[in-house]
Amino acid sequence: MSDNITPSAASEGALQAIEPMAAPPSPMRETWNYFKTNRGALAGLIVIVIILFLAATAQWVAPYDPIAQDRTAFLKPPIWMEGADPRYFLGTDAVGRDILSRLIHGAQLSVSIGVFVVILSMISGIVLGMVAGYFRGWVEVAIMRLIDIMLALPSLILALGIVAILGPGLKNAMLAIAIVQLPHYVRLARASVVGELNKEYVIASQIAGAGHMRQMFINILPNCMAPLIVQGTLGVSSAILDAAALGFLGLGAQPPLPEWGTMLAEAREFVGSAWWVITFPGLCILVTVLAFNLMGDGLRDALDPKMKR
Amino acid sequence: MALLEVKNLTVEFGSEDKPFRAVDNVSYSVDRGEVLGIVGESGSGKSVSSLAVMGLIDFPGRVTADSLTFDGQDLLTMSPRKRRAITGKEIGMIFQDPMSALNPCFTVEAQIMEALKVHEGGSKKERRERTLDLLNQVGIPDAKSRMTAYPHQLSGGMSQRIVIAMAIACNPRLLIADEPTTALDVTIQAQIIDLLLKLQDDSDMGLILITHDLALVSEAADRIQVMYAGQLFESGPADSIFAAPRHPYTQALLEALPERSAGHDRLRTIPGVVPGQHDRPVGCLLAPRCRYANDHCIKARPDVSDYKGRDVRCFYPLDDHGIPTGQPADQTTGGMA
Amino acid sequence: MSFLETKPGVPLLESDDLVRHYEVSRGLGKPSAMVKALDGVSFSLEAKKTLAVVGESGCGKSTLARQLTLIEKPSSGALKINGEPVGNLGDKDAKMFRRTVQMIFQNPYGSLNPRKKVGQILGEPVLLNMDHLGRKAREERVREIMAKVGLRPEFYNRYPHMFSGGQRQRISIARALILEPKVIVADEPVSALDVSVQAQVLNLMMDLQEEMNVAYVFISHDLSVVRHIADDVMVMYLGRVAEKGPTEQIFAKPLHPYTRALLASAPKIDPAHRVKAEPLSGELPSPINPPSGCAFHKRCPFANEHCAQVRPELRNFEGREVACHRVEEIA
Repeated sequence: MSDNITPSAASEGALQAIEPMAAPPSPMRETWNYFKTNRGALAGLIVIVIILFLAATAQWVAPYDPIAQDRTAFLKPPIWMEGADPRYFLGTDAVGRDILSRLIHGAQLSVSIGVFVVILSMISGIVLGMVAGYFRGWVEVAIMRLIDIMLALPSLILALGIVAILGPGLKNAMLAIAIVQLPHYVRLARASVVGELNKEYVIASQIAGAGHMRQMFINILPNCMAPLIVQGTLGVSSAILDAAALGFLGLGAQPPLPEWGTMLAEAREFVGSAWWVITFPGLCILVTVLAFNLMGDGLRDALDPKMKR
Repeated sequence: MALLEVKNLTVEFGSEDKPFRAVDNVSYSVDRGEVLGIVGESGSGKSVSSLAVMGLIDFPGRVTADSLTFDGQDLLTMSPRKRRAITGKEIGMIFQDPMSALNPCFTVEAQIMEALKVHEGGSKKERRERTLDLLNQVGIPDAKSRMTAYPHQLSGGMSQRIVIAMAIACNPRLLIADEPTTALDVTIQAQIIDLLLKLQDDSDMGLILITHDLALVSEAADRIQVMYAGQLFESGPADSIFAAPRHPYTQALLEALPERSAGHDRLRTIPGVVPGQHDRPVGCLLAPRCRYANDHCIKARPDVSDYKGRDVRCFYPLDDHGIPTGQPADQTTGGMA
Repeated sequence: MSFLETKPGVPLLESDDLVRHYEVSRGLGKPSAMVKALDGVSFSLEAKKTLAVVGESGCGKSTLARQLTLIEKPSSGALKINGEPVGNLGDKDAKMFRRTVQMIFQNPYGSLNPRKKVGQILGEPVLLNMDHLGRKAREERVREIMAKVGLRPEFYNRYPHMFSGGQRQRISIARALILEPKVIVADEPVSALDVSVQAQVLNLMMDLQEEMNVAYVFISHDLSVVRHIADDVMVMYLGRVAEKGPTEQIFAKPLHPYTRALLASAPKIDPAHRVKAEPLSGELPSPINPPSGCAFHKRCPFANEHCAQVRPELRNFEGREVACHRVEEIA
C-alpha cells in the first residue's frame, strides 16, 4: 500500500472553486472585543491587574516590614485624621505595625491562596468530571454521588471539619477550601463533556482511531474550558473569602501573617475605638472579591456564544 | 389592489457608517389567493425580508421602505400597537423548526386557545370547540385526544401541523411560511405542502412560501422570486421562470441541480460562495461567480428592469436560448467548469 | 494484512444480516423495550461503486453507518471486508480495518473540532495510524490531501469557524480520505449545503472516487442526488430493506409501494418529471412498537389482510430485491 498521494486533475477544477474570503476575527480576539464593551468587567480587570502588581512587588512597594512593630506608634489613625503619625499613611494597629504594608503583603497572600486553591480544585475537578462524563455507567454514579454528598454539607462547615482534622494553618486551610470548591468543577466539567460527547467531531476522531485519553484531554477538553474558566475566576474570589473566614475564626493563616481575614480577627476588639484597623482589611476583601466577580461575569458573557447577538 | 405590497424594502445591520445590507431594495406584492415563492441560498435575505414585513426585526437592525401596505393600510406609519394587532391577526407565520415554535411547557390545546384569546376572544367553550375544528382542519388524526398532548409527544410532522393550526387560528388573510418543510422527511413534506395549498385555496389566502428548494417552489407557487445576497435577482410566473430563466444566476442554479443534469457525469457548478458581510463586490453582486460577467458588470451595479415581462437585475438578460443579450462581443471574463 | 488485498470474485464490503437492537428504559417498574433500529440488513459493495441508502428519519440509516464504521458492535450478523469477517480480527487488525472504512458527516459545523486548526484536524488520523511518519512527513501528507480536495495551502493554520459550509465539507472529505480508505460512509454529506455548493461537493466526491478507487456508502434522503451519484440503491423502512437494486431500474420502475411513494413525494422542477399521486398518508410508526406483518401496511395503498399478518421477506423480482407480498400484482 502506497503512502503517496499525487496531485490530481480533480484538484485543478476544485482549486478554482475556492474564492478568497475575508477572515473573521480569531476566537481570542472576538472574546476580547465582547469583553471590552462590558465596563464593569473592564474595571474588574484593571483592579485585578493592580492587585497582582502589588502582590508581585510587595517587598519593594510596601514602605515597612509587615511584622515590624513600632513601639512609639500604637493605633495611630490614617494621616488625614487628627493625631496621625505622618510616617504611616493608613495608620498602625494595636502593636504598632503599618497597616498599608500589611495590606500590600496581604494581597500577596490572598492572591496566592486564591490562585493555588483554584488550580488545585480545577485540575482535580476536571479530571473527575471528565472521567465521569466520558465513561458514564457506574464510574459516573460513584463520582457524582460522592459530589452530591459534599454539596449537601454547608461549605464553611465542611471546610471547618477538614481543618479540624488536618490542624489549623494556612496550608491546611487552602487544602480544605480546595476540597470544598471541588464539586462545582466536577459538575461543570461533567455537564460540558456530556454535551460535547454527542458532537460529530468526537465520533470522527474515534473513527480515526483516537484512544480514550486523547479523546478526553486533547479533543474534548479544550471545548469545555469556557465555563470552567469563568467558574475559576469566580472561584478565586470565593477562595479569598473562605480563607478570610477561616482566618477570622483563627483556623487559617496564623498571626503574625498579614492575611486579611486574620487581620480582621485581630482587630475585633477595636471596632468601636479604632475603625481603621478593621475597615481597611475589610475593604480590601470587598474590592478584590468584587473585581473577580465582575471579571468573571464579563468573561461568561464574552465566552458564552448564547449571550452573543 | 394587492393584499401585501412592499416597495424598496431595505434592512441593515451593524454600524451606521459601515452597514451590512441583509435586504437591499426589495419590492414585491402578494394578491389574495396567490402563492408567492421566494427562493434563494442561505444569506440571500429571504427570511429577513419577511421578518421585516412582520415587524420582527429587533433593535440593531434598521428597516426602511418606500411603502409597506397591507390591504391598503400603511404599516410603516401606524402605531406599533395597531401594527401588532394587524400582523398578529391578519398575517400568520410558520417557521422552519416546529419544535422550537411550540412552547414545551403547555399542551397543544392551551397554546392554540391562547392565540385565539388574544385576537378573537369568546368564551372558553367556544374557543375549545374552535381549537378542535382547527386540529381537524389541519388533518390531525384523533384530534380530541391530541388536544391534551405536549409538544414533545408529537412527531415533527404533527408539530408542524399544530403550528399551522395556530397560524390560521384567526383566519389570517396572508400566511408566511418560512422553510416550513426543511426539517421534515420527504413524504411528510408532501403532506404539509398539500395541506398549506389546500388551506390557502379554501379561504382564498395569500401565501408566501420561503424556501431554498427550487423544485418545491416550482411545484407550489404561482409566482417566484429569486433572491441573492439580499437583492431581488429575478421574478416572474412559476411556469416560465424555470423553463426560460432570464438571469444568469437562475440559469446557473438550475444547471447545478442533479435533476437537470441526468446523464452527465459532472454537475455544472457555480464557483465560489455567496458574498458575506466582509466581501461584497463593488459591481454586480454575482459578478465574481457569473460566467458571463464582463468589465462593466464588475464596475457597476445593475438595477431591476423589465425584460420580456419579467423583473430582472442584470445588464445582459438571457434570451430564450439562454444566451446574454446586448453584450458587446469578446468581453466575457468569467470562466466556468 | 491479507484482508486488505482484494480477492477476485469477493466483494469489497459485505454486510450479512446485520442486526442492531437498542434497549430503552421506559421508566421505573416497566420492563425495558427493545428498539430494532437495524433488523437484518444485507448488502455487498464493490470497489469504486456507490451504494445509496435511502429512507426517512428513523429508518436505520444512521445506525447502519455506526455499524459500518465500527463505532458500535452489531447485535448480530457479520461485516466482512474482502471476505474476512471483522468480528474475528485482533486489536491490531481491527485498527487496520478502521483505516479502510472512514466517514463523512452531515453537519459541516459539528463534525470539525472548533478548537483545532485545519492542519491538526487532518493530521490526527495520520498521527494515530501511521506512526512511522515524522512531523515533517505528516505535514507534507496533509498538504497534499488539502490540495487534492481544493483547499488552499494557507488554510493549514486556520480554524474551522473561518470557513463556509462547503469548505468545511471539503475538510471533512479530506479527513476521510487521508488514510486512503477503501470505503467511505457518507452520511447526508450535502443535505446541509446550498444548491450551488452541493454541486461542487458532489463533483469533488465523484472525481475522488475515480482517482482513489474508493467505494461510497452514500446515505441520503434526496432522491435526485442519489440518482445522480449512485450505482445501486437500497431503500430502507423501519430498520429493514424495502427494495434494493440498480439505480436506473429503481428510478425507471419502482416496485415497492414505499419506493413509489418516496419518488412521487419528491418535488421536481420539470413538469414532465412530476408524478401525479396522492401523498402518502400517516407517519413513520414508532420503532419501539412496530406494526405487525409488513411495517409499511398501515400507510400502503395496496395492503390487504395478508400484509397485516405476515412480514414479507426480501426476494428477487425482475433483477432486484423487493420485500413486498403483492409485488407481482403491483408490477
